Amino acid sequence: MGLAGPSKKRKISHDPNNTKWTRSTGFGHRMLTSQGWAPGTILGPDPNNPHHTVASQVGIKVMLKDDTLGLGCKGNQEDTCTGLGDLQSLLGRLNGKTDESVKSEEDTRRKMWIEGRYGMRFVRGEVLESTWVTKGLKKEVKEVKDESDEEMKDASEQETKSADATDEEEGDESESSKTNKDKSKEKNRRDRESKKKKRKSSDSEDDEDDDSSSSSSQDRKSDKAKRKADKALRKAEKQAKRERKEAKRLRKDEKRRAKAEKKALKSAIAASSAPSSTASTPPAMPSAELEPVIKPAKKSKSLPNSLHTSGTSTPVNGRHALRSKWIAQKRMAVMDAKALNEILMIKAA
Amino acid sequence: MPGEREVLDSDRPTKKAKVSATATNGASKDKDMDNPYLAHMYAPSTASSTPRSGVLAGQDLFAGLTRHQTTTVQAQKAEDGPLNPFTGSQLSKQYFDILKKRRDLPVHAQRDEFLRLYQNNQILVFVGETGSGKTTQIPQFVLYDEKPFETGLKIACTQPRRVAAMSVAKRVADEMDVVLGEEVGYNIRFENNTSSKTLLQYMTDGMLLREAMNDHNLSRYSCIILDEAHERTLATDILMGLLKDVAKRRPDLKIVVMSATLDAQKFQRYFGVEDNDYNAPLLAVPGRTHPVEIFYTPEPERDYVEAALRTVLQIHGSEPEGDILLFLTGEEEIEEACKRLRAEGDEMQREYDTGPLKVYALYGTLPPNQQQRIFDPAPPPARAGGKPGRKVVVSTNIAETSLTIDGIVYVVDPGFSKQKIYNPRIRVESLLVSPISKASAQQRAGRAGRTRPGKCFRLYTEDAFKKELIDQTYPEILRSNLASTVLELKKLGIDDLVHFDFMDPPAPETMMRALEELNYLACLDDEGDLTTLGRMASEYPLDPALAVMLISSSEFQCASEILSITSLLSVPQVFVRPQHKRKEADAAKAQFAHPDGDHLTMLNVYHAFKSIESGAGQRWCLDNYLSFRSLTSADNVRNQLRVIMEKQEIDMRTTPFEDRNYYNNIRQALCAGFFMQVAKKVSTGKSYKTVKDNQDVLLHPSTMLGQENEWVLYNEFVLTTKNYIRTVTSVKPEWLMDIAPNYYDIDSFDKGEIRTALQRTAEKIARKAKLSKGAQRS
Repeated sequence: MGLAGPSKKRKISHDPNNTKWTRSTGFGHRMLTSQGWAPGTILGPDPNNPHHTVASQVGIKVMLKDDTLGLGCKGNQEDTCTGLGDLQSLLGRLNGKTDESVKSEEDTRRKMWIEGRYGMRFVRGEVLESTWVTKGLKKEVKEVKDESDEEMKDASEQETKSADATDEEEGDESESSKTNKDKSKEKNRRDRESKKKKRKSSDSEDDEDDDSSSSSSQDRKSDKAKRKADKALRKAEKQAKRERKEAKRLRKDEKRRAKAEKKALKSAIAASSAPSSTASTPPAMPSAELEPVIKPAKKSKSLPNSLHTSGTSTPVNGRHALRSKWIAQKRMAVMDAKALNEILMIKAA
Repeated sequence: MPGEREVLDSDRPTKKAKVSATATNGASKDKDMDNPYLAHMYAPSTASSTPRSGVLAGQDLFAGLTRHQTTTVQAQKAEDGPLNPFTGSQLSKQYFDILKKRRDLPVHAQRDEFLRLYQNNQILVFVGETGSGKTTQIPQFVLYDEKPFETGLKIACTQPRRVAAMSVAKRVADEMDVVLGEEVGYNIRFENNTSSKTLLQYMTDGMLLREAMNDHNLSRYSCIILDEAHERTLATDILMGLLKDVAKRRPDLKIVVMSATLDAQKFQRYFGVEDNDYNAPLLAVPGRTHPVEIFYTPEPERDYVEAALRTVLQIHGSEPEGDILLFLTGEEEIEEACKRLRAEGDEMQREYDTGPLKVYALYGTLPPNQQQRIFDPAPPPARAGGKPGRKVVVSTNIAETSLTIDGIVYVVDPGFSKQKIYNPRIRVESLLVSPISKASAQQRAGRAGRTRPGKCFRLYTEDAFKKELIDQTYPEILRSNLASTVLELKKLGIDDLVHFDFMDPPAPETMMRALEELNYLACLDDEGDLTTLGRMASEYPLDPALAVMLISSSEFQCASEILSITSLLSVPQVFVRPQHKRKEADAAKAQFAHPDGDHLTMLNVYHAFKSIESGAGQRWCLDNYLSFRSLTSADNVRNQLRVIMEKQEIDMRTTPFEDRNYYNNIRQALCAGFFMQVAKKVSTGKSYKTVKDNQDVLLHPSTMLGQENEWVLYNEFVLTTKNYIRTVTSVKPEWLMDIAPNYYDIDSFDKGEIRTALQRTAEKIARKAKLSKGAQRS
């Protein structure tokens, strides 16, 4: 804060938290210890109750608030900035994004905000169905009203089942990428599974349909269901295809990586006179380790190639190391809004 | 301190807004009639004029119903009349009108389930969303099953607020077609409206706690319903711990815990049996609400008040019809916001042809007639065919749970509220602006969906909602000074404070402080047992310090004056200081000023108030910038406290006003209660230092006391950027050392100004004693 900032003089006591008192063992301390309390523990017969909060141990800590800063606002506004959106679209255009895609992005953003004369912008959040905290309960009640109980249970079972199935599949995929050999076997299985999934997904979608438009008439429902089922079939087919393609690509990746690793290993061995045991392990590791790590994080099935190259534990040395560091830094800077501001010297509005 | 809280009801979220209201507008009247919290506003129904043939005749109407085995069908048959099952008289038309509406309430659909769980369990947790009808209906369900006229045992339903207890009792009396105070009654502090006939009794939680002090088993009741348990008031929390114990001793006692939020697992576990992981059974009934769309700001707001005002105006300019509810933190902020909104609203109407905007403030200390105005309908269009008008209510968190305003469609939530916090280290209880909890935020949003689908604008990011807000608001027991609670527990026969089953145990430090305070006040002896003084003090619905001051006032021959001061300290501020008339208000206050301190100034005000003939009081208060409401309620509190004092045979004789020591005696008596709230002037500058806790403080600008006084006693520590002490009176160190030798034990002080000053005082006293001895000898 510069000279222009308001000067708030505040006298703080020598011991504002009165630690002197906390250290003393006066009457209160004596009484509690005589009844079986030990310093550092909380009161009550059930100290391990998960519903107890920290406040039961140390009391409630608060900050004195004497300004009108909004919730989550950290005060020093100089280094945060607003209105980056426009800039990002500009950068996007510079980076070769087509005008249409930029425009559509802007449109969606505009849709998100309710803009007005008073300059308050809002982002749409969730819809509060009721002040009822548990969602499941509300749902149950709603569905009981609309349909019979059992049907609902069925639906939920189906849902969990299908969720299981997809889980399984994902697990399989990661496994499959590890084993290159039983290609055909894998493929067969995958087909079978996708068929299964097809059936299931169509089922569950039917159910969803039921849930959402239970009030609609019976025939319209069946009609719609049929259409939906068709759609689901098509979708499943597409998915199966995509999966097959994906598996292929993965395998290709794998091969490429293995090659690269071999190469790296060779060079490493050549570079370091001592054939270290650590160097021999990496080739096996990444394929096993990398996949499961990336898989759950990135839900989309295509992995950017760059991740593979940088993900290997190939020791990079000398000039290359420095260069890759620079590249990483630049990339970081572009991704981080704050750093971007510093580069472009933007001050907060 | 349940008692004091009741007096200061207005500081808390309260249903008080609807007190003493006169139904003036016909449009909302029908709706209001259905609102149980407004029941007291309407004239008693025809029920009171129907001939009564007594309870005995009514019993036949229950023929065939066995206690704890009734079914919904049986109960409904009894409800259907044509004779009132409780009085035996003919049921009125109004009864059947209400009955029809009652059967539509969401709780009614689950009456069977409720009865089954109720009959098979001793403790039941019932969760009903606002608007489900739980407060009025569940006690009646119990009534038909419990058949209290057979057992002679009553049913109690507790409420955290006085006004709620009163108005709900009135509503239920109407619903049952009985006279309020007979079969259905209420019992709140200072007002017991029950009789020997009473079967169902609504009461404040503090009142039930007081009853438990003298009747540890609560043997007058067969069923106790704790309503609004989610509010977690101090009294409810202690009652819960107590009832868990009583339930073991009295297997015939039924307990229903009712809450409005679904953090019921906590209640279930608490009332379950820990050993075998058994949870208390739960019944949940949703209310009727509409979906509410929630909006967040994309970035944190720099000024939440500014942002809130702009949001309100933006809604007014762009959103379709529907009233707005804005949550702010305190009176000043709200008044300021209202002023700006009114100005902006007028401008918008002139320049942009929007509908008229009506702005209302709502906070606890607002006079009831002004609070009532928030229920006025939105203004009509300014001209025929123009845009519809809109109502904006700017409120503290009163409107969050307790009070429902119909027609609210938009809620603006900056995410703050004023909350009571106690810091045991410096012994300060204060109201501070703090972020609300997630549960509170949801509750606020829910307010928008009472009449139709609504929108809630949160002036913080979704990220902040997830990361910066705690899940649940901390219960009062974690936020208060526990001195009076510990005194109550001791009176309830609970000596082991460490193992008392609190739902949320208070921090050990807070408990220690409370024990220490009681020990210094001589309410607890050094073994931790209740003393006679402590026993006497626990009879008063006051802070222990105030109670002790009151009891020991007779030693200083000023019981009557101290009684007045105590009453004045237990009600909201008597001095009014409107924003635009500060000078005039200060001048008016100066008329009453006493050079020795604010307590005495307040006493002057009270004496002047009493000398005005009745009827002119209101006018006089207005002219002198005093709060008529506070003064009359102080008068009321005074009468009640006097009854207790007389019961304890405290000598009420006082020093004549002409006596030289009239004011000195009062100041000494003040020391007897407040010797722990004393500050001494620091030799350099104008600041003071509190004794023992060594906090730097300043005299609050509102004080009438000069800066030159060495030692001052204060009623309140105000925590702001500067620490102030408010309502101060000058005292002498000799008195303090004489009255509280334990606390002012010189050896217990650290080296410093205070210690030196005390030492000097001690020497002075010794010298004087020697002198007088010498004088006697000669």
